[in-house]
Amino acid sequence: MILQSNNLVKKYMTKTAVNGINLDIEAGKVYALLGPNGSGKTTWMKMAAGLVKPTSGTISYRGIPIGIESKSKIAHMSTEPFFYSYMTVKDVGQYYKDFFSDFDEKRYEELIERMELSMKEKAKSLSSGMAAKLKIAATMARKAELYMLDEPLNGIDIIAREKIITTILEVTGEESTLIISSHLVDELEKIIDNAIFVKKGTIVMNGEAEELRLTHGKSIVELYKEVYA
Amino acid sequence: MFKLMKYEFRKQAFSKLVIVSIIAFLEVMFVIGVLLENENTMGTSMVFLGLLTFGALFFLAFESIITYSNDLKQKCSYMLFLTPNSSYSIVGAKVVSAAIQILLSGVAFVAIYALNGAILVAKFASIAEVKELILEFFKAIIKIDVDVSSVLLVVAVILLFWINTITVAFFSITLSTTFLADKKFKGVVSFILFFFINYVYGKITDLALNDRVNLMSNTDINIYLFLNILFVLCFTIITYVGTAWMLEKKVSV
Repeated sequence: MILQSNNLVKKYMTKTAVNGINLDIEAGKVYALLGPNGSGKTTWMKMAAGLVKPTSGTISYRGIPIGIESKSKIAHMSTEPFFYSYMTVKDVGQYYKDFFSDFDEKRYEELIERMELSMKEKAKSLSSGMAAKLKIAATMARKAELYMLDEPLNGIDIIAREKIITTILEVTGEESTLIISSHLVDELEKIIDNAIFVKKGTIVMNGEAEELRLTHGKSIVELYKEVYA
Repeated sequence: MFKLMKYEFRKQAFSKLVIVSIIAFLEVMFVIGVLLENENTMGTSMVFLGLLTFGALFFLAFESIITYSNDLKQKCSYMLFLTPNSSYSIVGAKVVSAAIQILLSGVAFVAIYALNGAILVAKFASIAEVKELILEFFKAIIKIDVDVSSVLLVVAVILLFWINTITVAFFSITLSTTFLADKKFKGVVSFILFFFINYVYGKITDLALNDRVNLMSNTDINIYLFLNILFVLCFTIITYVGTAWMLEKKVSV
């Protein structure tokens, strides 16, 4: 297991965002973390990234609690824009190069070109779609063992989505693991190995995508509609 | 840690650029005033330079605290906390870069005043006489009861006190973030905590050190200063470790 979450709970005052999630993530697979807004996907991912501290339970990366070691191996992309306001696209690359030993500068340049961005552009002046592309480029330019992308297609127009997904899959090596959180199930259906359905902070369905389709006689999109309707 | 410091400086670079630009403008104004022997221009530039010195040092002291607060409440905090660095390195980089900035600013302002003084001395003979008088005055003082080690200790106390103000502010902000997360009144609570912690520390040092001062009756001021340094240093280390520990174990960004 590359990532293990045991009875993970996160409470904010009176609100419970994540309520006892048990989850094993295997290496080399593509996971879809599915659920509507507020279901707990983002909070769980942030706990796996070390940004949010669990109220109880444990989460570990290759058996080690989330910390400095896991941060150097996991490439996490948050759904919110997070670059410093002074940064240009080039500065973002330099920042990642300074802090992540697995950052591939050449790959970053290629991705920036592919995303039709310019190195001179200011991160804060980018449109939401272009800012999302920059986040993807910076994250995917790392040769990480595990990629966690939180709503990577948010703000990206319907035509560019397929191109982005293709790019993500191309860049991710066979051995790398990919967890994509999204409520845009249509785009993920074709590419995922496993689907995890999260509702009100708990996992309501989890398994291999193909097995889920055969067992329920429905596509992942149909299952999503059934679970969250 | 050096890379973290590099980005701390970068984040706060704009304000330095503004300060340097204003200084440059005032210096040009001062030199023009000297060349034209216009007392009004010289006086105005010196008054504004004095105000700027006070304002800039005050601002620099609090800019690092504001930056830290923003790093905990804004989404750009992910840039910092996603990097494979321990919270001890992150807080350490912030404290060290703040200390370097205030030290360098202090030195820069002293150099500017020295330069302006030299210009005045070179231009006006009467000022050279005043300078001699001032130097004589200082020589007399130094001969009487001020030695270099005391001066250095006083400088160390001031610098440490300032670093301590930063670590206490960091500690207060982190403590309120730990319990209040995204609550709007978090800032007010941090502010109250900051004054409360400083009040408690003040009481402790009063109790522990004031008696010693009386006992010494000014016979050895260096020991008093040294004990002050020791106290501030311990308090700084406690608040620094406390801040980093809370960030590592409790704080969610």
